[in-house]
Amino acid sequence: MIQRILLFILAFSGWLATAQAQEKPVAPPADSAAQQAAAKKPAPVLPDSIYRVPGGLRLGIDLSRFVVKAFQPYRTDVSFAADYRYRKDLYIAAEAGWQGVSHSDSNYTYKSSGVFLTAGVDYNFLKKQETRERYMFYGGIRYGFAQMSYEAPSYTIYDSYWGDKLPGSFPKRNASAHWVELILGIKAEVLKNFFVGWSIREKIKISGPKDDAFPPIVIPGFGSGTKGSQFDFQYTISYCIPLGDVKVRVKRK
Amino acid sequence: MNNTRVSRNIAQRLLLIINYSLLIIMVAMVGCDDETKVCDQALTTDTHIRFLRDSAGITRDTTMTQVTLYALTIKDSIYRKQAVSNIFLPLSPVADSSRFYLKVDSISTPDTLTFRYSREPHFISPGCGFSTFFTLDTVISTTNTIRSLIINQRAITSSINDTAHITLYFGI
Repeated sequence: MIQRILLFILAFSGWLATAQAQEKPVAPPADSAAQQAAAKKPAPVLPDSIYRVPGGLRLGIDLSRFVVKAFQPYRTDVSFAADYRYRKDLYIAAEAGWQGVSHSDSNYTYKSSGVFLTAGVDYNFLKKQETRERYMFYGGIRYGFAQMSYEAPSYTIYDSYWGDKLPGSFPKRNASAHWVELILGIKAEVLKNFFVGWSIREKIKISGPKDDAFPPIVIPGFGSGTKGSQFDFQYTISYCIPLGDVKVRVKRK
Repeated sequence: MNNTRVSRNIAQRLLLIINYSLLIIMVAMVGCDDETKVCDQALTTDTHIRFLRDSAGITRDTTMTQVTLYALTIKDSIYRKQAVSNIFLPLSPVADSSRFYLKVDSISTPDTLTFRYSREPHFISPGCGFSTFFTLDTVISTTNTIRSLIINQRAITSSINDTAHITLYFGI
């Protein structure tokens, strides 16, 4: 398990490193004719062009969780999202939240509570923007972790032959889960420093609760307690705290 | 220059429209996801027993003409004088052993089947709740009419499969 996480972090940091390396201009191959021309008439060396794009820390709340509550009344989710502009197109992003589940019907009662945290990056695909504009069409990746406890305080098994109702209970137990999220979304600045955005995401479970006899119904931040992967979405409103500008350096040709 | 700016503004306006309209689509997507509302799985965990007749080394499926089956402690019939080739028998979910009376036709001597097993409550699904799963330890029968028996599968769960857990061999 730990090995898988480490391997993933390693592979991901490797990808980041190559992505950054690619931004650096590659030295043109030595061309004898060009070299001779340069020797005759030295070209003036122009300094790099530098411009600034607005940076900041964006803090938001996921409104879609309240919509979920309307359709799955047993679930109560509160989820916050944050991202920080690290480079012109690269954002360090994280989400954190809490989930409580309370369900009761004629078959059983169920209770759970837990927290989750995800961390990763978003990459903005929108290139042609004015420097002060902050629209985003982005792809992202997250690593997610959840810690929870759950129980079935009472259940009833109906048996028509041996007796009508057989009561029982499952005591409280702890569980944790790890997963990876792949994200695609947009963000738009609707008022100064206020953003509205949505994203769709596929969550792929790496490890989860081991108990086959009684798995949790929902895992905080992930979703279904028994599925290996889960499709989900987010709809956030957020406020961006301006924290200075991010310098963008462009080499002169 | 002017042209690119116009097209860019259209793109951004589009982005905003998509942004607002998506909440409605998302609402529709979650709409069909309350897992606690529907139970679409079987909850019964009965032991499936298959009858085979063994005559002169040839075994074949056989239908018994008047099968009567009940638990010795309950005495309510699960089968009463029915012509069947397979029986489904509920083990007791409150004890670690169950005994059953089995008479397969009007003239044969009845037999007693004794089951010893362990049991475990199992969460079937958010919609269905819990059921009891069994693991067979030993199954013993008297040999009045039954010649022998074989345990094919020890785990008795809610999953439906065609293989019988137990095969009963008759010599008549």
